[in-house]
Amino acid sequence: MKQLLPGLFLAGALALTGCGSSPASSAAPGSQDAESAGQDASSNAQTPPKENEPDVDLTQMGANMVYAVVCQMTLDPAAYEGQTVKVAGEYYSAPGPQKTYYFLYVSDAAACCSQGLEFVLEGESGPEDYPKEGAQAVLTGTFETYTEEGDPTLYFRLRVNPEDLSPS
Amino acid sequence: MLETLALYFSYPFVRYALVVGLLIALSSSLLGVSLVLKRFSFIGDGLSHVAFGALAAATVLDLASDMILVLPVTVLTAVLLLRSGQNARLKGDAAIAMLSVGALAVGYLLLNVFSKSSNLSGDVCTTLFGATSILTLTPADVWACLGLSVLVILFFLVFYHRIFAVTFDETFARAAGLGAGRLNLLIACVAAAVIVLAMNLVGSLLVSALIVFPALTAMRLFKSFGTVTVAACLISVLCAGAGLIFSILASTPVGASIVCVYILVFLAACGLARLGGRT
Repeated sequence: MKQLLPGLFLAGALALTGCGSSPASSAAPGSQDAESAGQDASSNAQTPPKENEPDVDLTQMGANMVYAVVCQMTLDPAAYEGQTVKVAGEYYSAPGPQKTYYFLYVSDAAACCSQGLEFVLEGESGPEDYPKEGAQAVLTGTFETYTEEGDPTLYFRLRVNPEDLSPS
Repeated sequence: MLETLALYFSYPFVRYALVVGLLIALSSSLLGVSLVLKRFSFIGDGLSHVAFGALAAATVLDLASDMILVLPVTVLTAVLLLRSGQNARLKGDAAIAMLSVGALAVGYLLLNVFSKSSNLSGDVCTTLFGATSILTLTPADVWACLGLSVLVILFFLVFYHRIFAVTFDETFARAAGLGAGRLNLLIACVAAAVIVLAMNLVGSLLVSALIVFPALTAMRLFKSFGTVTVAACLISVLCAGAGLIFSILASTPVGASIVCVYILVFLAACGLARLGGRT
């Protein structure tokens, strides 16, 4: 019996992996998992989301979870396409060859790992519409993926209504 | 708090982290009992530092998968360390110390000189302390961890009696023709695989805790090899699960949180042992 105990536990652990989507159940398992996660996150297990609540609210999560969710967005951006995301972080901009990129940086709890989440304001906007460099900001935007001319890499960003961008 | 936990567990990567974390804890505790009894408690530190060095080399070489280099190098080192025996010129603890610090220094130097990462400190910090790497596993990582963990557990289930013999009386095991040499080789390979896996959970610097604490805690409470092994598994799994959930809720580093839970449970076991009259 003692020797079977680890085996029984393993069976239980394997059964636990069957909860939700199987990691290898489709060609894009992460997509299915992340989609269901986004829907589950917005549903909050029992109550349906209110109309103005974001699908993914990173401001209600701990630092480790925020970092992990943003990492998942980089691993499988297509799964988050079209979802509203609310995030708080430190604002930075970076000049590119053709345009300027705007980011909110989020860190894990130890602050040794950071991820940048790009965003862009809807409509006509200039640098004066964005926060000051290094300032803390909160924004709610729609997750979208895009490619740039001559670059096959799939990027992602949040498209934000200027009214949904505010200092934290 | 329950609502927050339910929200977090609605994300598949959190479920993956818990499953992989528990399997790693189970595998390392099985290994730990034998290693602690054979006086190789520090092998986890040594091998994890060698794995860090190999990981650094793999990063600099820009390999498609780090495992191509990390696992073979760590296995080879484990074989060299655990099979050196009593006639080796360099005894076990000195060899571990030399390889450990050497690999750590060489790895860090390689990363500083050749790495193109924009956040070198963050990458090193994550590898050394396993801050949030367990929460950023891809499905492929999960399946790889699952496969390796299954192999480790099957190894212990199948070879339980031989492992018992080799642990307590290797000379007798050799004389009885139990294949002690081959078994030691297998234990070395399993140790390397477990340590490479465990780096995802607690990082290079804290891997020894997964190996040492469950075995020592169980030994405070029980005496027979089988009971200690089972107890070590249960203690390791429960502590790793508690530490992982605590770190997710409280936003503390995962590796350090798990080790702190191990420490608390070990102290509690010492107290219970003292109350029960065991020394």
